[in-house]
Amino acid sequence: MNDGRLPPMLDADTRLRRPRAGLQRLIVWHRRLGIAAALLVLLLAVTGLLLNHANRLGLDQTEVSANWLLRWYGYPPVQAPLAFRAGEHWVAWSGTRLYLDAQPVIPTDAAPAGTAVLSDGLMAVAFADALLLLSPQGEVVERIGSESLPGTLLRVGHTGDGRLAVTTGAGEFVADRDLLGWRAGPAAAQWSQPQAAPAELGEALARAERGPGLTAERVLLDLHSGRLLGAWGPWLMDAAALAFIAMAVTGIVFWWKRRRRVRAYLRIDDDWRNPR
Amino acid sequence: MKPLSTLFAVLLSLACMPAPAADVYLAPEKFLAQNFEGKVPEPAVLWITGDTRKQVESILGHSAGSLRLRYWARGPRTAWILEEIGKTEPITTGIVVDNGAIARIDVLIYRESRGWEVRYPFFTDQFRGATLTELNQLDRNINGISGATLSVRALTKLSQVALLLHDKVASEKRAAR
Repeated sequence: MNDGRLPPMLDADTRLRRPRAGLQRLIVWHRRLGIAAALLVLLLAVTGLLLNHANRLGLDQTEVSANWLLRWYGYPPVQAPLAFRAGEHWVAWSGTRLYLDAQPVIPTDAAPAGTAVLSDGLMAVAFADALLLLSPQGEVVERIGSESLPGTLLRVGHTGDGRLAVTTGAGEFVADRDLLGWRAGPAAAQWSQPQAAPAELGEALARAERGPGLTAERVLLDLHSGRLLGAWGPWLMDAAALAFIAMAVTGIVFWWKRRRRVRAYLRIDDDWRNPR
Repeated sequence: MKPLSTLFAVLLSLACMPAPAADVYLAPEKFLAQNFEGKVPEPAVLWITGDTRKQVESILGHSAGSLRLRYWARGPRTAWILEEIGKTEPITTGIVVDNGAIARIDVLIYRESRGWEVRYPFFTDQFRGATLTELNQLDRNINGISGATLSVRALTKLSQVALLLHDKVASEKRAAR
């Protein structure tokens, strides 16, 4: 046991002192890197955790509906459909496709002029130069071309006894029951008018137009890999990963150096306090 | 005008160009009028169901589309206005069948960007007199056109379908007698 005197001066190698200037600079950069990479590492960790349990959390089944995110992914903007009421059904046109309720019927760039429900239960969808007959199940029963029409169709409707009435540039016409002939003359018809589609139909059509939806898992994966940020995203995440690797290495170096010095100091201190 | 402005103007004009529109070579109603000496008969309807549907779909290689087709008939002659997609757009074709053989085939409306050469008589005349074999094939080889392979194929299929449907109409008439 020493008698209360202070331990002798440590030599230059074992002395606990402020690190040398080079090491000091490395520590400063280690801290800066840590702060810069912290957010990205946090992002990687959180998204990684969620992705590990994506299936259990139902993220692979959850469709993202945020318009800004869909736009970011290049999903085409879906315009409000042009919709017509056809009895209990809705005939809607998305701009590229005709739908009966939410069921796609035919692709078409032409906007329908209206619809009419006929006495035999078929639905007539009028285009300027064609008439499409649909079954209530959405099957195309017949496409009637311009050669069988009394002119360019401007509007369509149905008479009280369920016959098809149309307005063309030449006036009003009523079709016979088989739609094989037309009688000219004013038609006391209920004319089809476009109406606002119900919200559910609008959403169903938007989903159908967009195709397979964007899942939350996809977004998380792209956030995790950085691809959500475009071409530079993965490079940014790579930089974060490299920074994290650099931090780990420098951290181990600091710990090792400090450990050596502390051990040496403790050994000298112990020898001094407990001389053998 | 500076070269950059010229380039910009050219690019802008290209961007503003409308998509290729449908070329109407012969209006369907005129096609019918020409083939029935100006007096077009009332149309009739043939249901494409059961065995007929299977045969049509076998020829086309895809769904027959509508459940029924209209046609125009007088005596042994029937006229059909059919559509088949060439590459991406439907080609509207008028086909007249007389006594089980093709009398005339006309491209009425063409919407594809290439392959329009199928409208010319040097091609369509090959179908004249063609009949259907037992395997629903044409009884002759149709020479193709370079760069219009899909349109040639579409017209060949439509001619087979028209001949098949004509046979159905003829057999229905015979059965009704």
